[in-house]
Amino acid sequence: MDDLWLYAGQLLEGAWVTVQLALSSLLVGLALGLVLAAGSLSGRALLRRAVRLCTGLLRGIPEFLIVLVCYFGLSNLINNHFDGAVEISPFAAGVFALSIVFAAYASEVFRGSFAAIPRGQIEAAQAFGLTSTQTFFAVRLPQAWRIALPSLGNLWQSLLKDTSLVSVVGLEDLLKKSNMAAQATHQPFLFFLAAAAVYFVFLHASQPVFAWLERRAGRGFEARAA
Amino acid sequence: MSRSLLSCLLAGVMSFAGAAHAEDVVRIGTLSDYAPFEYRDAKGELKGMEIELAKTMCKHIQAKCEYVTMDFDALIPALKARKIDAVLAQMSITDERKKVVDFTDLFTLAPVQYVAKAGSGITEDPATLRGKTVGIYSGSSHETYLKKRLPKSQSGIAIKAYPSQDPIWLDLEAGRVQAALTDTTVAHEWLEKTGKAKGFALAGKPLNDVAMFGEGTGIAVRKGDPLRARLNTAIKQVLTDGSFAAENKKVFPFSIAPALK
Amino acid sequence: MNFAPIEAWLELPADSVLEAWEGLVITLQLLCGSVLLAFALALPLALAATSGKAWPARLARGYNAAFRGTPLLVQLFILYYGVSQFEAVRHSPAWWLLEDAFYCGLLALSLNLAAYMAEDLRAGILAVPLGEKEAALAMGMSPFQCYRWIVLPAAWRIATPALGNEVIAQLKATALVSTITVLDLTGVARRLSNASYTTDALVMAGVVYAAITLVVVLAVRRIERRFGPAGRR
Repeated sequence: MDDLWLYAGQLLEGAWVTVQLALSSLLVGLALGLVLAAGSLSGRALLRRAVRLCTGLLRGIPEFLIVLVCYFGLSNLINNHFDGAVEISPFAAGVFALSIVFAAYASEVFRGSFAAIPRGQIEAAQAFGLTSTQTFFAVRLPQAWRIALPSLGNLWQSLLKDTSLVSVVGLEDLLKKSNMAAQATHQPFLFFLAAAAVYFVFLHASQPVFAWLERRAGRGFEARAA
Repeated sequence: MSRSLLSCLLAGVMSFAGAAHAEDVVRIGTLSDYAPFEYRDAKGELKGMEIELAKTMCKHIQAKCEYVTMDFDALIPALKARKIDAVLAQMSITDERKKVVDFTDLFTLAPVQYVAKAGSGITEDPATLRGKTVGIYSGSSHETYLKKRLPKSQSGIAIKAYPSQDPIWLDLEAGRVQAALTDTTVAHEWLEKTGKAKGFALAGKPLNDVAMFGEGTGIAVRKGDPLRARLNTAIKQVLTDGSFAAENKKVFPFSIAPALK
Repeated sequence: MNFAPIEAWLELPADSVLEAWEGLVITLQLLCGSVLLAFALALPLALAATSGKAWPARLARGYNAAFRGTPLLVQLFILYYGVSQFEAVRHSPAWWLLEDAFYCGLLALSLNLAAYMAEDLRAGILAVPLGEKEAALAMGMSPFQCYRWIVLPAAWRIATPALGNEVIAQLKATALVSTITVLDLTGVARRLSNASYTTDALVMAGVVYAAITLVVVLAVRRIERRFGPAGRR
């Protein structure tokens, strides 16, 4: 048990990396997910099909494999074309991999959410003379966001757990630090259990946050729900 | 509005792209769990025989060295992808590796041996390993040796590959593998220093297969990289001025210095 | 367009293809095995969780929270490396199971999936209209008969879409066993990729997974149509 306190600083450093990784991937993934959702709802059949194919592939391939390919393959791709001008850190590769996976699932969620907005809302906005962009940001997005929030909450939980995958490509997140401590002290059970506990705490700390977000997004709307 | 958005995006991209490294920064790829050569202590600092020697050598070639740790089998891909400029991880100089990277002159000797339970009857003779499972480090020359020289269909030896050294010891203790094929140096460290290796010992004599294991280890660099010549002078320096011998003595009772040409 | 992966596939030596095939077989064994075992475990878990009794419910909910609230990778490491640390475990009868990486991985996958399935089944059981249960009991059925003939069939139909999604997701989860030395499709792809210093093998493995996912999705949707909310016996 003393070993745990000895390595606690290391584990906390790893936990911080995990949090940064998850939050960065969330932001990029949400933005990308909206873009993909817009693509899949577009009028152009070719664009729709291309986006559906992309998201289908990303949701059908193990996240683990995507992390591996992104980490090893992305640099090769860039170096072949740009001759080493841009350097991809393991953190960036991890964010990239986790974001595109998140975006693929999020785009499906957003697609459903946008489709669930009553047609009357959009017609009313047009009747008021709002432009497409104004309709999107003032009418459609806030309502889609409210509908999507529970599912996005589930995706966030998966994202947080998936950050552990980057430990396999050497990024020193919580799991990697636990692994290193476990190997140095020959006490894998202790340190992996400790890592599990920290992930558990993070996941459960997320729930009140999402509950608050859902309440906030639903204000004024609950009066209608039976 | 779109202009500030663009500059935000650009700033975001730039924060991911590292600055093109200056001429005198050498990023050295190494391991974090290969005691006593390179490992992290409780504070997370990188320590070990090769790390200390690297610090000395970097002073000699007047370069600023940064250390990047990763799994062994990720080192050469990282070198090729320009994530690192040199590999210092007890990497044996083998013909197979020479096809993809360049090596410096010999840096250390690295005899290879089996480790097994004392009294198990396992020696370097493949017949004693028939029907058993041997643990090896993924991407190592030991793995290539077993796959090429003693394929399972002929020798009856099953192999299990691990991403790092310590799981090999854990599974050896647990009995999931009956023997481990590792560098004698690292085996010595585990057997003598950690106190968790009761009942285990080096099994049989060191293996002799220069084609598979090379003559020893070296520092790997990209093909054609002039860094190689600079590192060679540094290696020669530490081998002759006694700093290698001093670090060697701290961790092993035997010498792993290569014979100087 | 980069056709290198396809060219690489055509140039693959025969023994690599054989290895990949064996890896694929292991992946499918893990998928089918874990789904069956998980379902067998999920049913009692869901029943315990929805029973009125305090301790079974708490234990079941606790189990679900623990396995859904931590990453599968950590669970795999605990079960394979962590547990084997203890001498007592190594001398116990459980060792014949835990010793082998494949069975250890199968166990971890099953325990993990069981938690997700149990929650889906729990939601299904809770969604069965209370009136049906009351009517069954009023007609003189024992609690066992009530569950066997009324509640569980209804719950199963309600939960089928969610359970189907879990099965689809489980295929991707099997890829993680490659981290505990199991040579499944991902494990073989990683080995081939490392040996060649390229990512072609990984990309090809990805394509194979996507193809299998498609097949699994079609199979699951067919089962959903047959057994699901809108299905008829």
